[in-house]
This record gives sequence, structure tokens and C-alpha cells, in this order.
Amino acid sequence: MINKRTRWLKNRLMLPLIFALGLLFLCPTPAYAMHIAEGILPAHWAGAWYVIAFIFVFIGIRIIRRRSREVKGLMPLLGVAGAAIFLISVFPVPVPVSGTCSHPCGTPLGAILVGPFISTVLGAVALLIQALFLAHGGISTWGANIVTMAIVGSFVGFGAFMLLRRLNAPISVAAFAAGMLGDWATYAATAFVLASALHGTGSLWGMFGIIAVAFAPTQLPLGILEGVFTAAVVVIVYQRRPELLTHLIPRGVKPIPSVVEGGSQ
Amino acid sequence: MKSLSKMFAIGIVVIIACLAFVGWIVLADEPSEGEEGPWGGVDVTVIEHYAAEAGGEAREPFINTDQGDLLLFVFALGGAVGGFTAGYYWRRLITEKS
Repeated sequence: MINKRTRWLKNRLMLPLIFALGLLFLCPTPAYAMHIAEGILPAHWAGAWYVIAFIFVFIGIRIIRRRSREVKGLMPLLGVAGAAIFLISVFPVPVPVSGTCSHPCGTPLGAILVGPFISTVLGAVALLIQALFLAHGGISTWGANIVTMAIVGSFVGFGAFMLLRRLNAPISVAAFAAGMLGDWATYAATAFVLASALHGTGSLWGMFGIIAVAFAPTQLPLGILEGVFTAAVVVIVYQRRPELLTHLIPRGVKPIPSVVEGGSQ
Repeated sequence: MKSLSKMFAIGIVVIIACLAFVGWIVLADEPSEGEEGPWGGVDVTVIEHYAAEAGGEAREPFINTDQGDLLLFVFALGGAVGGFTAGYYWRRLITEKS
């Protein structure tokens, strides 16, 4: 039944979709863009980041397919995490003192809720929608943006969370650090992606340092804000549905004690 | 031992957050106004600025929604759809335990 429906959708949608995409590529129009904008990266660098992004997204899709069969209640979690990543990553926050706006990432929160690979897939979908319709990022730089925001944000956030939980940090502190470090790592990775493609004959690390320092006045407080938000959401989910977080602990790692006991911190 | 590692972990996080706060104050000595004026997006004032300096000019995106109020419309639409989706699944997640 599902196969029939999928085939029907494929037959009906493929041709108009290909036609629409063809039109999009043939008729570009001017606009300003955010994230790493269209055309900033040379083709070979854009392609390299696409390859790295594809590997992580491919693994993430396979994990989603496996987990959706095994875990009840995964779909609402995916819905919340996906919508949260999409909304948070286009939400411009004005930063006093520095006088600029920037946006958090949302992927560290997504990684805690659904795991880093699945969060990567959700981040990739959010970035595609933003690139197509919201003048954020670009199609040629989609791979690079996936690497910086979806992959680095998810894995650094998840890694920080797991490390601090293993050090017996309260869940709120671990989630705060995950959000904060995931946000900073995303922008550090963006600085690296730009520097690696554009340093020319100059020093790679010199250019990386200049861009990273330029990000700092806006992104340092925003990382703290993302940490606070991430901690708030994770603590609420943890208090109301602790069982939702237990299956996300990787094999070989002890379950979070307070989840097993059903307590909250 | 457990409480010691817990204190260590909390201490590290607090120190990092405090250093970040100090760094923010030290580095943001003057408001950075780019071509966009005050409150410009950092992706434009930093990414596009340094990319342009290095010869990597931003190209036009394939769909131009930055025309008049069109961008406002797609942002509002995206916010509404995203907010509805997040709220719907949040309710299912938190209130519908079965």
C-alpha cells in the first residue's frame, strides 16, 4: 500500500519537480543571503564539503529508518527537533554592545534529543529550505553549511553533553555546555571553511583567526543564550518524559542514573 | 569521588561561560556597523565581508525572496508553519504519554 502510494507520488511529482528545479537554476535573481552565501566557495571546495556532508546525511537517514522501526514515539521527537532546528537557525537575535545580529544553531539541542546523526539530517533539511526560500545560505554552499551547522554543531554538542554526564554533571549543566560549545564550534567551523577556501597564498590559520575573532563579539553571548535555551528544553523533556532520553545513550555507555531513577535535576 | 567530578565539571562550565562573557565585553569595544548599518546580520558583516576581501563575492540565490515584503512574508510563513509543527509534536510528546 505504501509502495503504491510512493510510486504514485513519484510519477505525479517527479516531472513538475524537475521542471521547477530547472527553472530555478536557469533564472537566478539578486538577493542578499546569510550563512555561507551562494557562490562564496570555489566549486572544488563546495564539492568537497558536499562529499563529507553526504556521508553523514546518508548514515543519518539509515539510522532514522532503523530507529523508527525500533523506537515508539520517535516521530514526535523528530518533529519537535526538526521544527526547533529550523526555527532557531533562522531566528536573528540582536546582540547589545556589539550592535549586530546573529542566529543560534539548534543542532546541539537536536543532537541531545535524537542523536547527532539524525540531528545532522534534520539540520540538512532545515538548511535546504532556508537556502531555497529564505535567502539564507545557498545550494552550492549547502554541503559546507551542513558540515558547519548540522555536523559540527550536532557532534560537538552531543560530545560535550555525554562527556559532562559521564563526569556526573547535572543534566542542566551538561545541556547548557552542549548548546554553548555546539554554537561556538559551528562558527569556528564556518571560519575554518571560509579560511581554507579563501586564504590563497596567505596563512590558513591567520585568516581563520581573523574571521573567528570577528565572530566572537556576537557569537560569545549568543552561545551562552543557546546554552540556556538548550538546557531549559532538555530539562523539561527530561522531567516530563525521561524515558525518551534513555534510548539515545550509545551502546557501551552507562544509562544516565537520574533517568533510570526517574528523578529530575 | 562522584561529587568531586561533579564539582569539577560544573566549575569548568562556569569558568568557560565567565571567560566568554569577559571576552564579549573586551572584544566588542565598538559597534560594528557594516553596509547594512547597525544590527546587520553577522553572516553578512563577517562572512560576506571577509569573502569579498579574499575575492569570493556572494552570488545571487536561485530564488529571490528578498524583494519588498516578500522576505517578510516567507519568514512569517516559515515561522508559523515551524511553530505549529513544533507545538503539535511538543503536545504529542509531553501530554500524550501513550
